[in-house]
Amino acid sequence: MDIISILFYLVTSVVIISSIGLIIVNNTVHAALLLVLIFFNTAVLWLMMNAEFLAIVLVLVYVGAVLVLFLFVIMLLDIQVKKTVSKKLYLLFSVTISAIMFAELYLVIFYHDFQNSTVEIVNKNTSNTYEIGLLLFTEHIFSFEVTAFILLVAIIAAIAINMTDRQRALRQDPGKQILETKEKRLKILKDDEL
Amino acid sequence: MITMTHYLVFSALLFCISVAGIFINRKNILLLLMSIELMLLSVNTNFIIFSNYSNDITGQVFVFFILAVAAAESAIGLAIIVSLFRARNSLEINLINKLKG
Amino acid sequence: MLENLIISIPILLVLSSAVMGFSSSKLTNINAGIISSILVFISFIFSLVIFYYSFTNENSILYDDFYQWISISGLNIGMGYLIDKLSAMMMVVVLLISFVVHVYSIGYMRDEKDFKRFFSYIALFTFSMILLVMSNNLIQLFIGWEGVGLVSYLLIGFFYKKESAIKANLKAFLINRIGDMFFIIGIIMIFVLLDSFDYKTMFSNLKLVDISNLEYYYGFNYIDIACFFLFIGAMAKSAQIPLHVWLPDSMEGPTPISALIHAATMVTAGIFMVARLSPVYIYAEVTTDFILIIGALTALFIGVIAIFDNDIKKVIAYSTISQLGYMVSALGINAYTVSFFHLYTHAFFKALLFLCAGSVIMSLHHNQDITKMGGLRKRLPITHFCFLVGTLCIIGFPLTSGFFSKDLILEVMLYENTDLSFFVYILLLIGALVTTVYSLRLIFIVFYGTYRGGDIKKIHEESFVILSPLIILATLSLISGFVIHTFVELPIFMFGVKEIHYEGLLPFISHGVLSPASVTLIAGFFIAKHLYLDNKEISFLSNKYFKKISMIIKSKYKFDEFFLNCSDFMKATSYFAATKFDIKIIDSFIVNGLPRKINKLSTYFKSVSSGYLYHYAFLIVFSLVVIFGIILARVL
Repeated sequence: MDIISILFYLVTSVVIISSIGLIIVNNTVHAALLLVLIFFNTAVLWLMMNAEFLAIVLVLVYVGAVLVLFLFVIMLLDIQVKKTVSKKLYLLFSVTISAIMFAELYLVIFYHDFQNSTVEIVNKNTSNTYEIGLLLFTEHIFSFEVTAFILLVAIIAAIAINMTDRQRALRQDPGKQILETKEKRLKILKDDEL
Repeated sequence: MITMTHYLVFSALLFCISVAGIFINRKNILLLLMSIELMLLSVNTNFIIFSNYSNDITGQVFVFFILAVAAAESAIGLAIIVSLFRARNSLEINLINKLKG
Repeated sequence: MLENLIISIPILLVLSSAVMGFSSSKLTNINAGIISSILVFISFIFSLVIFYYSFTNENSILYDDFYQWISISGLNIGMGYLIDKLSAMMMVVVLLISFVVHVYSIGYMRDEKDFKRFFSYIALFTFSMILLVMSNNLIQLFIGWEGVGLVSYLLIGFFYKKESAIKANLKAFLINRIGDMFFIIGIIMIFVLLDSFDYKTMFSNLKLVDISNLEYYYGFNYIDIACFFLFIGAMAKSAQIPLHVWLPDSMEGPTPISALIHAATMVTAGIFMVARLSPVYIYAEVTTDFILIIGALTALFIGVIAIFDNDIKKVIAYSTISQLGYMVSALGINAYTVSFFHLYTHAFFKALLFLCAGSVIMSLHHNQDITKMGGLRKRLPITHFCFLVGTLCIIGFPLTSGFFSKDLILEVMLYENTDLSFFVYILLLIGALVTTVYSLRLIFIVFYGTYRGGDIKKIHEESFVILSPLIILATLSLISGFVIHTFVELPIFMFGVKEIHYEGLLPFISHGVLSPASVTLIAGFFIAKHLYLDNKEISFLSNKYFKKISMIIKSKYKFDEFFLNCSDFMKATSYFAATKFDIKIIDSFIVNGLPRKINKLSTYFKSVSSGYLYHYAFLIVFSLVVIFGIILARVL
């Protein structure tokens, strides 16, 4: 058993255990932290498959940005969560379906003969980042621009969604205050009108 | 020796766990979003495996795009969750059945 | 020029109808009647011109399709006219009788509140009849056919406050619907066979049809069935057994109408139609036999009813049906010209009889019961004379018009020389005897003997307006038979159909006088004299056999009851259908039950669409797993 195998089994078992924990844990903060753990370990796995750039991006973008955003929202919302798994029947169903699905995927994987092809860390002259960059800025430049646009739209959308109910906030409107007159606010009543 | 099959099985297992996560969760919509992230992660892993197998870097470019779109998706998803929480003061999925006609 | 004349005839008539129908109260009744009569008279003159042209120019057929009405890929329905000798003669007859009746109506209807409505109707009737007669295609014929049916309905129910009139017009309408339904089927069958509604195209296409190789249904060939359906239409319109029941009841209408519509013109539309389609009918051998039998039965058995009826108009109505039976039986041996000759003479003398009856009824202040009449000969001399002329015609007294036409039918029937035609000949001969008896009975009871209705001194002749039409018609009835050679020598149809053995006027007369028909005439005279002039009827009927027979005849062979039973059966069936089928099965099981079941079923499906996200996700993944599994099972 070489070091790669040990590393592989270690990393994958951490990921699997953490993901099982993620789906059954009650506390959302714990779940988010487990997700961080999963992402880190998966990044290690990706490194083992010679995808250094993506591994770094995963850590930077996902752990650094997205999961922080998750945590931020969790903190912001102050959620009291009761029991996550409410009914045993649902659990049974979900596990059965997932198990069947896994069995099917397993069949597919073993039906195709990938036994001999190995995933090895190889030393190349050019870096992974260079190769991706070369492809990204030549062949896929248009998709790249579109992705940038999608991100822009996502930013605007995320803001727009939460901009809608501003009127609930208690604040003053100076424009309206200036326009008020005393005739609008005060009414003098006579005796017989009382 | 770690073969490609090992990676693929790992990826399939991760995917199935996240699918189960979607079903199991009845109380917290945030966990749903996290499960989706997990699914995307397993899909991305598969992309990288096959990119490696076929010695074609385009698969990794694809992963790059998926990561970008997933980030956008989770940003919007979280925005929706925030506004949902403001409106209903709860994130429990089993209380949301507005889809019912 | 001639074309304009032809088209102006219906236009004048419809104009007359519109003027009468929409005129204000400023137009007095008398003026309205005069205007209407003048318009009809002008169109009558026009028709005479056309008639003259048709009979002087050999093989002249005026044909035009002046308006394309409907044109759908190969189906062309136009409005137009086809004037050959048949339609020219029919137009003259229709317009002449119509004119006479118009004039008569001015006198007869003068006290009616709805005088102008009446004139509007009869002008509309004349228009529809002309449309029917001069049409050049079956659709226009059908429009005219329905038009005369409609006006007949309106006029039978002219006294719309009288319950019996309303029932009678409903009866006429419903019976005619039966005929019209079959008539439409017949028209469509003819169209399918000959690929056109237009007579000219139809008959030229008929030559291309392989007659010996037609389709057979239940042992009858296609033309037989088509002609049979068309003839059922004619049966309803021309009041043949068993669809005759409406005609006696239609006497609820004003008497001029009975003369115009229910004696001279509309009821002969069926005869006209068969004569018009004679090129098709000669190929329908089974149907013509059927026509022959129906005609003969009608001629005899309906005539018998007339002997026992006491309503002056109904007696004449039954005699009309009987005479129509003669015409129809002549059609049954393809002797269309002979049939049409009888139609032509009958139009005059039957209109005459009706108008005379109207005159009598007016003089007696709307009493129609002949048992309250008698001895009117001295008080109503002109009416009596005219009635006598009409009676002589109908019984076929030598040298009157009826003699020629009826004798011609009998001779042709005998000459046909088949078993069936000989049997029909015997029936018609007995029918002639019956005709003599009931016609003479009527005149004996009404005009001879003693008056049974009170003071005879109060009765006097009506005005000249009433009497002049009688005189015109009486003259025509007497002389119209002498043109017999026109009918037997000249081919009056587009297509000559049957040659008739005819040697000249004098041989015909001498032959006719010496024929068995004369025996029936003399025998009928003595029977009628014995029974009605010498008042032996009561003692005769006390014989129990004759009493039984008369009971059967007085019940009118229970045709009315038959139709009532039919309608009762249909009512019961539809009641059953309405309560059991409609309400129980359709309403509660299908209309309401099905949605209830679907609603119940949908509650199960509704639970699937719970609105919960994870249910949908579960379904998606479940389906995915199943589909994936199926694909996998096939691949592995």
